[in-house]
Amino acid sequence: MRPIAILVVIAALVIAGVVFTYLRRQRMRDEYSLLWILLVIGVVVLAVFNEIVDEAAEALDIVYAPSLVFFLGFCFTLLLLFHYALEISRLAEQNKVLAQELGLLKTELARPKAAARGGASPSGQGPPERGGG
Amino acid sequence: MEIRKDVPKVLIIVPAYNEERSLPGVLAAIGETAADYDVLVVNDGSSDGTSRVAHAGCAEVIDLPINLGIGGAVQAGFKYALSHGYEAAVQVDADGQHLAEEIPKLVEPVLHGRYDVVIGSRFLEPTAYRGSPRRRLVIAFLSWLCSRLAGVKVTDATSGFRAFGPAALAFVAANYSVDYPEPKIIPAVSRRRLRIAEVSVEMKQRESGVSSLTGLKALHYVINVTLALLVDAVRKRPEAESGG
Repeated sequence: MRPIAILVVIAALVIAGVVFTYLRRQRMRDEYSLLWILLVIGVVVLAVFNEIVDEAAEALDIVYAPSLVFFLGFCFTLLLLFHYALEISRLAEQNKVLAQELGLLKTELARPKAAARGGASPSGQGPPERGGG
Repeated sequence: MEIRKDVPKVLIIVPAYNEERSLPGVLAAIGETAADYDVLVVNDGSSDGTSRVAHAGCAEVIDLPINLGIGGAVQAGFKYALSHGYEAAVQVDADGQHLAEEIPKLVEPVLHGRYDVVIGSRFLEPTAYRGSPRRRLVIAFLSWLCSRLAGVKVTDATSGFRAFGPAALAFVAANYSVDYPEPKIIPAVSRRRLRIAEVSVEMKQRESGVSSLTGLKALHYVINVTLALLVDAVRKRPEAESGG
């Protein structure tokens, strides 16, 4: 193995260790762990069997083989960013609904005669229905 | 709270973010000229005394734990109105821009069922409003775009001074955008076959507030809203509707 390959394998193992540590402390959800572990495995495989890159580059008519690795890395990063954009949008929406529900519930709690209003719940989810007036 | 017969249940929703200075005046003016209506202040995670002055002003108050932005705050008010059986809701800004004596003008058409959404416009007829030329141009362009997308003529698409009738209230409580809600909701309610109208109102220049459209900011705003409107026009709906 070339020295650079050893270095890459060590780096990959460090990443794997970090991922595992966060998983163990339950600071990262399992659904994300698979992604990072697959990435680590991919990096190790390409570092050890670097002829895969050369052959693939040749098959794809890529003159400078490492640019294939950069390209794949770039695609991976873009996909990851896109995934995060979707996740952030989803979380922001959930966050908004929760904040609204919390605000509405606090107002209901503070009202002394809450039951007098027909017991309408401040739920904003589901098909909208008129509360009892 | 005395029992009122025959008086339709109308809720005035006042979204407020750090408006402790202007809010008391707004609530006092509403109390004087629109006393038949209930008032709800949605405190959008303010860091100042907005909640305190809202309570002191005899309004019902929703304190949102975090700042959601105008759309999220107003939607919380719509949800409240819907779950408490209000027939109509009016959005009135806390910065003193909207005049309390104009509220009945907006409420009247939705209560009589002539329209589902009524927008208070500064440009329908000549009014005393004098915004900067840049601001007027931005509003004119967005109003034109909204009119085209909605199939209804609108002259003040960014006006936040609006009344919503029962059918519209159910819709906006469930579907209200966080970003640029004012222009975006116009084509959205129109696609639902809800009827939109404008009435001419006077507005004051903002007493306080930061909504300044200067230079690149105006361009950025126009591009963002235009994109949002166009994307919204082709967005997949929960229910299949014929296009047009």
